[in-house]
Amino acid sequence: MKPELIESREAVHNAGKATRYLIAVSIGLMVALGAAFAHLATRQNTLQDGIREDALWAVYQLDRESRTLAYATDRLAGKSTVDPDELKALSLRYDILYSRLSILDNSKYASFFETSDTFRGARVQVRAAVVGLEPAFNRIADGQSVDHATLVAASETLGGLLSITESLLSFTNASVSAARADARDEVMRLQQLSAIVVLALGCSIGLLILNLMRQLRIVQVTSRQLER
Amino acid sequence: MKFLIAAALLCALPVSHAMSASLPAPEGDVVLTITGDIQNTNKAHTATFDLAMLQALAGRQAIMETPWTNGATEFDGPYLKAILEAAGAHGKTLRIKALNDYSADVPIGDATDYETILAVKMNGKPMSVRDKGPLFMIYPFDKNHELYNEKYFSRSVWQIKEIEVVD
Repeated sequence: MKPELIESREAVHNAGKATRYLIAVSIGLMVALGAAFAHLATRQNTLQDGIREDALWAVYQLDRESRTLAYATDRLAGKSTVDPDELKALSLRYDILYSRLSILDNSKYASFFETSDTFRGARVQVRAAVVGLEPAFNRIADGQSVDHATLVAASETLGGLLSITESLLSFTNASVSAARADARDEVMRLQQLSAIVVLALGCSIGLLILNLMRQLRIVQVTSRQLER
Repeated sequence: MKFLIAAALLCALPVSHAMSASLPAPEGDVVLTITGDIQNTNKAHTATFDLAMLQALAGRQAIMETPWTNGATEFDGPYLKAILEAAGAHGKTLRIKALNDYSADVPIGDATDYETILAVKMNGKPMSVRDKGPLFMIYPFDKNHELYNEKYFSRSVWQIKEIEVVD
């Protein structure tokens, strides 16, 4: 075999090897890109953002209803005589506050909050305070009269409850903001990773094309040499 | 023959008008008041309903998961559409108001296009205020899965006390 042909055979062999490597790298990059997009899609579909916003809304509602009841109770505790209609309205405010407890216990929010000792502790304290007021408000709901001391005691309990719900609202807001920032960072990281993979894939395909063109040129040269 | 038909129509007109305007007065505690652009009233310019009146209307029972309840929950209540028909409501938007003065504006299409109910029972029991009652607007999340999103969650008002029909 002529030395030129041996050289061409080596060149074709090397180029073929490089092509196989480039194809393998391209396939690997495509799989990585697919995985990045799949992760991004899963991340967007988990409804985590909605759960976080709902959790914040639930805690806001709890704080709002606690505040409304606390003010109403405080106002009645400061009066010498209380109208039955005012007591009925007060009882309704308590029932509304009570209904917010079940929202705090909702399992959908638990996934977001349960990792936090602060939240678990505050939830126990809120529940204890609201349930502790139940006998007094049950008597009011039954149309029984309540004495001034009971209203004053309820007002004091609600004052304590307010400080807990305030802290809980601040904590929840901070947690939601942090989780939102983390989620945004994760999406940004995935986007950057995807951009790098796309760039690498582009380079790999470019090299593949160059390599194929080189192979074609060598084949043409070899073909001309064989014709001579 | 023409005379008979005309006479029959003439007789029927006042009856149909009377039927459309008749809404019996509630015998029990009023749980829902409808105000605004309504034709049938039973107290001043409002239509008031007690639980018995609501339960007598066409409705449905449905088991579904909601963001506010744990696990599959059964809801039972009259169709919102049936309530609006009973009140003779004519409008484009419903302002649903809760006991704590929260309100949500809901297009009337949510009542006519979907089997939306005002649930009066949860898991077979009447709902007290402490259980998000007496009325809870429930979209058919079991039939129309596309409704299971924040847009309809915010319209799913609980502890409903009033519906204002507005243009």
